[in-house]
Order: sequence, then C-alpha cells, then structure tokens
Amino acid sequence: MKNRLRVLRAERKWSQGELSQLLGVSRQAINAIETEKHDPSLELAFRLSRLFGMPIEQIFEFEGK
Amino acid sequence: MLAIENEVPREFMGKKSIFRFLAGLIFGGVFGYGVVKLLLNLHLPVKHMDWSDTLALYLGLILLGMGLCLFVISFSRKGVAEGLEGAGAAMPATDDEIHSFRLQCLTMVLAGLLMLIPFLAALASPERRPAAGVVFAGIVVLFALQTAANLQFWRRSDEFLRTQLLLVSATTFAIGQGALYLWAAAERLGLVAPISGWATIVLTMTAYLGTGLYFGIRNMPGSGRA
Repeated sequence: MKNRLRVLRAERKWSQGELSQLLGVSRQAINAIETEKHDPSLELAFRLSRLFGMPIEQIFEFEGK
Repeated sequence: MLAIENEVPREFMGKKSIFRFLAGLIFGGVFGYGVVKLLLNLHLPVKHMDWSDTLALYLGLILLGMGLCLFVISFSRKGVAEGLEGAGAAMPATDDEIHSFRLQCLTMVLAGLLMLIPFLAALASPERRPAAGVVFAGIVVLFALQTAANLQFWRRSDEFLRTQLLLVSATTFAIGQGALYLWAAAERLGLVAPISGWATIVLTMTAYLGTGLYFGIRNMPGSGRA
C-alpha cells in the first residue's frame, strides 16, 4: 500500500525516532511503513490519521481493485 | 524537495565505516582468539565430532559473537539508534529501546550457549567432563532464562516486530516440517540413516537463524521496498 508518511513526517521536521515516540511504536515500524514493507494495522492507521489531522485516505492509497 | 534526516554527508559515512570496520576487526580478533584458546584447552576429539556437532559449534559461535557484539554497541545510544533507524539517526536511542536491544543480545548469547554446552560437555575428556545430570540442570536453567527473555521481548514488541517474529517462526516451521517429513519418509524406506534428536534441533536452529537473518536484512533501514 502506497503512503505519504515520509513526506508528512518531513514536513513537520520529525525524525523517525520522534514519530515512533509520538505513536508508541518502534522506529523499525515507521521505517517499514515508509518503505512499504509493512501495512499498519487499522488501529495504527487511525492513530496516524489523528496525529497528522487528516483522513486515512490522505495518508494511504489503496491500490487494490 | 524535502530533506530527509537519513541523508548523511559522504565524508562522515566514510570515516564512520572505516571506524566500524576496524572495531569489528578488533572485536572479531579478540573473540576468535578466545574461542580457539578455549577449544584447545578443552582437548576436544575434533576428529570424532559429528556433522551436527560441527554445525552446532558454528551456530553457537555465530550467536554468541553476534550477541556480544550487539551488547558492546548497546552502550552507545547513537549506535543503537543507527542500528534501528539507519545511518544519521537524528534522535539517540531511548531507555526502552536500549532495554529491548539488550534483551535481544541476551537471547542470542543464551541461544549460543544452549547450542554449545550439550556437545562440548559430551565431548570433553573424561577427567574434565562434569556429571551429565549437573550439565542438564544447568541447561534447563539457561533454557528457562532464554524463554523468559524471549517472552519479555515479545511483550515489549509492537505490531511490526511481532509480525516479523511470527513470519520467521512460520517460515522456519514450514521449512523444518517439509525437510523433516522428506527425511522421515526416506528413513522409513531405508534410504537414509536415522537422524538424532540433537541433529534435528541443530538443523531447526540453523533454519531459524537463516530465516531470521533473511528477514532482518530485508527490513534493514535503507534496504528499499520489499
């Protein structure tokens, strides 16, 4: 699943470590989501949505049919 | 274009790489010297070592070496942060991250010892060999410690790390079950020799380490899309 996490994080000048602290997950999780190796759970997607103050669809792009 | 903090000046990376290479060389040299010295002192009948013992020796030393190397790195907050996030990590590792990192070191060191002790004790010369019951009691204690460390690491892990642990376990199970079935079928048909319980667990651990390394390298920061 494509996402804009890396760009959104850089816009706020947050490091992966800082974002991981804000979300309560590991840095590896942030890195894996940014490089599209891991699709976050629904709960983590909602936490990201709340943190960035935008709908999930503006962070993640569903490529399926 | 937005600047990403993982982009590090080339010169800085070069000096750092040389320093890491030298540090690795020194650590490897000291560790290797210690291992050879220990093995010589044990007077092991190397010629009579089974293939599974040889594999267990390599496996145990790799786990022990990796665990100790990572333990040394764990004293540098920046080193741990770069291990988790990649070169140029902006934020040093937190206490929680250091704790989890050291838990992983502990499980590796204990796994290494659990691979080495059974065959080293069995092969030691009679005058140096401790009673099998005493060795086994020690192994049970180490196994309980390793299980507790593994459980604690699981409880501290987030959804991504747990997914990775499950992926490694499931892949190892699939490989192990398939290989064990084929061997057992061939054994039942009298085509191959029976395999011991020790050889089976050494092969399982080899598959687990190999699978873990594969997924670990695949998920390393900066390794690109899967």
